[in-house]
Amino acid sequence: MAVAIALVLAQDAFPAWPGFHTWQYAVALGLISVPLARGLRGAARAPAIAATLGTFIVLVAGLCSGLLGPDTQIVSRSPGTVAPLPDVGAAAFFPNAGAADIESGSSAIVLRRRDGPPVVVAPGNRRFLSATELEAVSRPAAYVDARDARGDRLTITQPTNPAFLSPVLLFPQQVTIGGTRLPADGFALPAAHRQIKAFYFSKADSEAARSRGMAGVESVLFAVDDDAGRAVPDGIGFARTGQAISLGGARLVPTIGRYPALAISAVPYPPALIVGCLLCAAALILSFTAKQPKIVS
Amino acid sequence: MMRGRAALIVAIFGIAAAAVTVRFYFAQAGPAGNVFGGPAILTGAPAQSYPLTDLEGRTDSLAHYRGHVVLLNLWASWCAPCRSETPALDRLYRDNRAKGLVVIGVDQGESPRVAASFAAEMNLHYPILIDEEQLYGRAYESIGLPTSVIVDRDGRIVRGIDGELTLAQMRAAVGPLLGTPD
Repeated sequence: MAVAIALVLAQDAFPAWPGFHTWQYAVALGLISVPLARGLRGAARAPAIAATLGTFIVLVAGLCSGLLGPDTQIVSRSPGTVAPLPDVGAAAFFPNAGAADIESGSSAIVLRRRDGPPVVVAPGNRRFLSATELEAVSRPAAYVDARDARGDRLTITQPTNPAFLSPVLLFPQQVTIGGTRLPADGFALPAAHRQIKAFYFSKADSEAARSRGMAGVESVLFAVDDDAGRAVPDGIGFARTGQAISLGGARLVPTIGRYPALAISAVPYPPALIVGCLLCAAALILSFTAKQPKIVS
Repeated sequence: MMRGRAALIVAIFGIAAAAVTVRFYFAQAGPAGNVFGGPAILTGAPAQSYPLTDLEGRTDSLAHYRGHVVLLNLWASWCAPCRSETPALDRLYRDNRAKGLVVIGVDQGESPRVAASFAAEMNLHYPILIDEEQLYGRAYESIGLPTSVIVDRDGRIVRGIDGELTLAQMRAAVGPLLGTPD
């Protein structure tokens, strides 16, 4: 029984582990229920019945979560946008973030529900809502300030991002450069007729790349093309946070930091889990408090 | 006898618990949402407002126009459809300001100097706000420029529209809120 309950409660402890949604996990729970059923055949006392019933309910909750609950998914949206979460019965509000917010990495996602108070999920925090666990996962992000040769600010667009008008890069793609997988993103400066690819280098990546002046420093590699996708002269360069770099006629200043994405994982249905565990706890208490037969010496 | 009764109790409770739990999972609504629909999906939502500066450097925002019907227009000087739509917006504003209509042009990601130059060139009469950080573009789910959002007198979004509008389309959008025929 303890093994069964531990296997199911593990879903609450490590909800993102994909193994919970495999047939092997379901079979393991099924195999555990066999001796449970056998034990029931010999059970005649209330504690044994309660414990068996409680464990069975926990097992069903674990099986349903594993087999029917959705796999862990990451919802990443640009600052200032909203993502509906029908499974959770809520909408996730990704807060607007300027350069300072990205640099501090402190932005928290707010979940708003019709039938409850808002739930704030700060970076590193976990919250449980219904049969889902929500976690704000900090990811690399960069706020980009782009200006022309006269110093006038340029509109940043992200034609491949649903948040078309966001100056915040979230690096959703992975690109391999020189054997290193790097988070990548892209944006356009329509007024300057430039398309720009951006690659995020962590401290370790910068160290490995031995880029001039950037070793061991978080940085962004920009590669500037023209409207037709042709590389422009002097259009490639690294910039660390707050550093201005002039590339292909545009002056770019990235502010590098973190912005959260929302990880949503299925966990066992809490009411079933609570009832099952309470029954098991009651069985334990009953078995300890039941009158012990007197031993006659 | 006792064993049979115990088994029956377990079976009944077990099946009930299983049924409730299984039903819960099947009743769930579907995958979570990277659902993107552009400004149209905002219909009925409260209109978000951020303080910005206008062409004279004064602080202004959408919230200041509560009680008016607002056509919020997101634009940029490099955007050809924005440029071609602007005369109709100005005409709509001049024809309907007495009825409580306000047109607000929100320049996306450009410097005040660029926005002022555009406003002077187009001889605009409606208020222009400078949104250098593109806050409105993100909040209003803009998937291109221009983007127009119609806000009622209570501050709720009535329609979000992607792309260039004709004067007739603008009149049709704001007419019912102003109490005038489409």
